Amino acid sequence: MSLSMALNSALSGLKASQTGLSVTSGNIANANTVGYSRQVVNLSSQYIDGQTSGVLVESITRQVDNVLQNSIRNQLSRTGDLEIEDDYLQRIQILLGEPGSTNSIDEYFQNFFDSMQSLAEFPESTSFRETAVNSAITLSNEISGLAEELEELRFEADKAIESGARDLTNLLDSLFNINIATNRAYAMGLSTAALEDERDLLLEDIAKYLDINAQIHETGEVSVYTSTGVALLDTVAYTVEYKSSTSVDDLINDNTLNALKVFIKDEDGNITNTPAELISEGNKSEVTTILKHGKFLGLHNVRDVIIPDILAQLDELAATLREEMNILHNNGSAYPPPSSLTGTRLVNATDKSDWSGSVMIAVLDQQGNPVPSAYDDELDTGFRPLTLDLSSLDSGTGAGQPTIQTIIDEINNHFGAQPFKTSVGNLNNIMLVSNSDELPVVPAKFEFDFELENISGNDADFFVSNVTVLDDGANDITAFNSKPPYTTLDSTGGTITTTAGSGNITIAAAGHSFAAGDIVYLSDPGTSVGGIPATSMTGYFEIVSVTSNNFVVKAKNAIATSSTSANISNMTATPKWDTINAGSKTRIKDAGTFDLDLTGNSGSEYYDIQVTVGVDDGQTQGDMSKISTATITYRIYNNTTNLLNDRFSSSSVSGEAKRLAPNTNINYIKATLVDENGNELPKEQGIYKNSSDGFLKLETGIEGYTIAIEELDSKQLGITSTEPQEEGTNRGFSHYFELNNFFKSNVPTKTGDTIEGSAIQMAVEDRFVSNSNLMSLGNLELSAQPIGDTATPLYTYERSIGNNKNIQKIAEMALKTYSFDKAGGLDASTRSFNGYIGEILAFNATIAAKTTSDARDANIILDGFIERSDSFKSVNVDEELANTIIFQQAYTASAKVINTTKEMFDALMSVF
Amino acid sequence: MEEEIKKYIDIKAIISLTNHLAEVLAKETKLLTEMRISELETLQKEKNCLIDAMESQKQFINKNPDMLRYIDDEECLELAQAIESFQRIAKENYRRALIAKEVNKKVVEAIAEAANEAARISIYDKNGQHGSSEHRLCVSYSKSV
Repeated sequence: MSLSMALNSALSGLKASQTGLSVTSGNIANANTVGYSRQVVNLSSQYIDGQTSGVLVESITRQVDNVLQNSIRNQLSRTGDLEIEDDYLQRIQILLGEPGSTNSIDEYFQNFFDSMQSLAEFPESTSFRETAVNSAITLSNEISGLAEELEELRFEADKAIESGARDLTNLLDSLFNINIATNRAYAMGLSTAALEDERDLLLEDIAKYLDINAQIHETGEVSVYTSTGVALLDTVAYTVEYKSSTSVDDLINDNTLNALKVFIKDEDGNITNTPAELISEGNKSEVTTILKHGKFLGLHNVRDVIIPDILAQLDELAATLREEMNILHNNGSAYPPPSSLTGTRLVNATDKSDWSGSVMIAVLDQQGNPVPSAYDDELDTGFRPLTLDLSSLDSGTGAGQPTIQTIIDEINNHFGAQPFKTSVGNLNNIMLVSNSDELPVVPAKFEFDFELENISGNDADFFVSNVTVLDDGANDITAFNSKPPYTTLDSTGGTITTTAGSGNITIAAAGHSFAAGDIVYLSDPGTSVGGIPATSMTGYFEIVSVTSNNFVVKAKNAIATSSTSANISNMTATPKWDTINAGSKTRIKDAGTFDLDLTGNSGSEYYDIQVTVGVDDGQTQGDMSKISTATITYRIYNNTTNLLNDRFSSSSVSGEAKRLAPNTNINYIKATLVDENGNELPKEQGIYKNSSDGFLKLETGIEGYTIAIEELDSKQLGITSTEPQEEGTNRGFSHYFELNNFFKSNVPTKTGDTIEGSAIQMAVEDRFVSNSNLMSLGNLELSAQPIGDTATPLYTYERSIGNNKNIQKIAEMALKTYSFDKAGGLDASTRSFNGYIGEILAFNATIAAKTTSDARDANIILDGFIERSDSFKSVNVDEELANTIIFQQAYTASAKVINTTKEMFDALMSVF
Repeated sequence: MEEEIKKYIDIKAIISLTNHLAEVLAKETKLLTEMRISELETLQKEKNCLIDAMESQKQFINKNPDMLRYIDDEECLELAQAIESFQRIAKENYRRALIAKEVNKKVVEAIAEAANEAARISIYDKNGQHGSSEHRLCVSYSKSV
């Protein structure tokens, strides 16, 4: 339907109704006897030259006026929330600043990254370090200050709700009094006009606070409800009450805020009905409201939606900066590094989580060089760092799931007082490691493997050819529950076949997995075969060839005099246990363990475990590899606890083993759990058993020694194997324990950082404020290697003063993009820090601009209503409908102007 | 070729047209603000005429986009200024027209509501029966217009 048709229809309908209205008014006039009628409508036709020109509404004016008054009140409510929001948003805009302006947050970010870049160029400059830390402090102060000011605005809005509730209660009381006066005047037949004017003004003031439905009664009295039906004034005046927060901390700490309630109070101040909630209790997004417009809605939106949204955006910004900065800062070291590192993450010794990868911890001197080793034969090599393979640590429930206690023990095993070391071949040290947690157990048993260190330039194959267990009476009680993989030649023993005139012997071994060239240890067959003596068939051999069911080795210094096959009982062929790579120190548990059966004497005071080992370092002797062999004895005492992962050094050695005492008993680093005052938590039987939560602390044992950490590929993966499961932090070792954070963690609890609250708590760690030299600027580097092909490599790491790798990565954060989660109305995105800041500023500026525009439009419409209402003397329907046409035409034309010109201007502007 | 095209596209004319339309819109905005409705009505013809002229220019540009290459720098600058000024005025005019329409709509609705309310007033009819008037006023406002 066209506008003209619609209006004509309306007009004709209206005109057609004139008759009805006349009848109505006539009826009413006829019935104008007391008690017979109510207020009536009077319409009169207007004539021009005898022609009807329209309907003049006369006595309906008051009713039209009432409707317009209602429109005004509605518009006042609409304006109420928009003006409040606009006011706060304008103030927020001032706080946020404009992009690029001197005091805007993006400028502080830029200064921060600029100072990091300057420091990266001159890492040795103390003044640049100071500047870098100061820029970080300024940045964090700006972020936290901004968040605090936003919380102050929330607090202000919260207070305004309380004062608004008081005002509204007073207005309702006043309106209640007007009702009484109006009722009295009406009953006495007096004019109520002045009272009605006063009533209307009060209603307008009330409407500013919330959207209301005012019902004017015949007597002139008024009942007031919210537009959703909550009574504010009927036969009594209701009390609107809100108890605001006592301090801004209530808002910062997300304490539950009270509800804005409406209820009836008796003379004694007691609540006599069930209070209705205009705004619910809760915090931020938990808070709900039944209000649709008005100041209260605006204040609620500001307090619980608008500012929390901006805070969420700032939290996301701050949390991302903190996380990314701390990732890098934990993966580097200062020059010189610090002598101790104390975590800020609360942990318990019994906490267990999944880990992957390794972390490197090194002890250096003040010049960043490796400190001396504790052994005289390692004077040229220095003390090597610990490369802690977290993925293999086992606290008894499987590899890669260590407890904090196990991690602490592993660090102390490496850096604690150095033990007697036992070297064989190119293995620098062979330590027995317990896989049992205590002795004795029923049935008596002891499981073990080894930790082996290889500091040579060649890999080492490690063999264990025999294990014998003696009790405290030197009785052989050797028995096994299980052994590492070895080959029993067949069920009835080995079948050895010799060929006359040949030194090769063929050994039947169905299902073996040997390959030609492998080294294998053959146990003593106990008898000669084909003229080859048993001693020539015992020991280490290189396999010459293989078939699926046998392998061939060359007897030592012997030729068979006959071709013979013989069954040999209990003969075994033992392959290498594991290979230890050059430069590594590693457990070989993954390749198998020995599980001793100690039931032969479960009450022995101790057990001497004699292990016959062989080490193949790749050197040749004659026509096969040279195998260094030795028998090492380890003494394990019975009636001991907390044995799991304990290292045991040899008590005696024979053969090619060397046993060497350390020249010092210092602790290079001591790993402990400490309380918030730095005091070590109490231990029971050497472990933090039943102790409270604490913080991991690494501290050097000698003055002048320092600690440097490289995260390598370490990663905390959460808890996946036990309930309750926990999502991984994916942080490296140092970052997980927060040993070297640059920005403070915002929640010092076991659960770690949260995003919420990150902005307001943004701060640089105190130690950097007092000593900027502690900033992690560089990384550990492998020591310069000695020259010469035969020189033994160095496996130490050092930290040079000019190393700027870490600070360079920090400076490059300015150019990188990061993933920002969805926050406060901003979608998840991948941006640079400045890009995200720009997004925050633009997003909120757009909201502010729209609110300003909406508030202005609402005010203009309000002014229009007020103007029309004020000038109301009579309503000419014709004129109003005619105006509708004109306004519609003007509007349609204006819309066309916008559409037409936009396309043309876009085309024209494209040439600029 | 350039001269040929310039016969059809006179950038000066477009600038002049833009400025003239801006003046009309500004005047209309003033009338809307002051509620001088009868004067407003007289302005619509001129406004529509200018819009039609603008429309024909737009269509020509759409058909001959290459001709934009022949606009010189001075004309560009002048055009940019005209457009910037025009867009500001047009935006305000559009907003004012929208608001005037909205307020007027409310007034008409108020009349309709009041009249209908009055028509529903409880009465005694010619037969002396008590009831409600069935007469309804047909004041309506087509939102689809």
